[in-house]
Amino acid sequence: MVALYRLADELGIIKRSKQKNSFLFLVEDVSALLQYISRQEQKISENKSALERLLPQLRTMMSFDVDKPKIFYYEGKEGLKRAFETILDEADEIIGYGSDEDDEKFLPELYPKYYERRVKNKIPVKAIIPATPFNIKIAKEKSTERLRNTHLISPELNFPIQINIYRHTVIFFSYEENFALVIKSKPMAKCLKMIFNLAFDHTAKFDQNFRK
Amino acid sequence: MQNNQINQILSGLGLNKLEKDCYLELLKKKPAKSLRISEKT
Repeated sequence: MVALYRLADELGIIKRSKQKNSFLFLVEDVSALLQYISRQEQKISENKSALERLLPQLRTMMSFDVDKPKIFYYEGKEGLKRAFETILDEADEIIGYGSDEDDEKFLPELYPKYYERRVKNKIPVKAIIPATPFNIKIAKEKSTERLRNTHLISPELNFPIQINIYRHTVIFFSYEENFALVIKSKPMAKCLKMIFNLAFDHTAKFDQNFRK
Repeated sequence: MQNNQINQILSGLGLNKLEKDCYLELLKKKPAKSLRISEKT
């Protein structure tokens, strides 16, 4: 009996009508199957839209769940881009290492547009950056616009990687090897944040020399 | 249409075996002979 009621009342693919003290069940029109599919499609589409809207909040909730450490591995160009998108959803402020030159060289489809999106999300950056001619120019001209406090270091310390540390997250990007490694661990992020802050403070004097 | 094709479609809609059997049984019945169940059951 339960099956008949479900087909009639829940799925709406058969008809139930009352006659005296009985219920009559019949297949009135087989097109009710198509109408049922359309209703399901509509529901899935609405759920998909709602989930897309909620995704940033869900990601933020994940980043605050610090009881259990988590590791995510992203591979390929698309993987790198996905990891960068995660930062836009989660970060409040970032400290790290990177190179504008490499950002634009390895991910031209993402950079330099990405800087604008980060600024729009009000995420400031403290960055240690190798002083290549390109990076010096950007540091001089674009630091304010890109909401970035930059300290330039020797161009010999130029590696095709980027390191971002924020909240309880550390992300390593390796451009030539095409992967990103996301580590969500409170003590690791705290420790690396401290080391990077120390390095940042101690590179102030070098930075001034490279800007002359 | 083959029975198994209808079966596959109904499975795809999420119907279990009992629900599929009920539907197929009703599909083959003429309206006058549609399944009548007492309100008390």
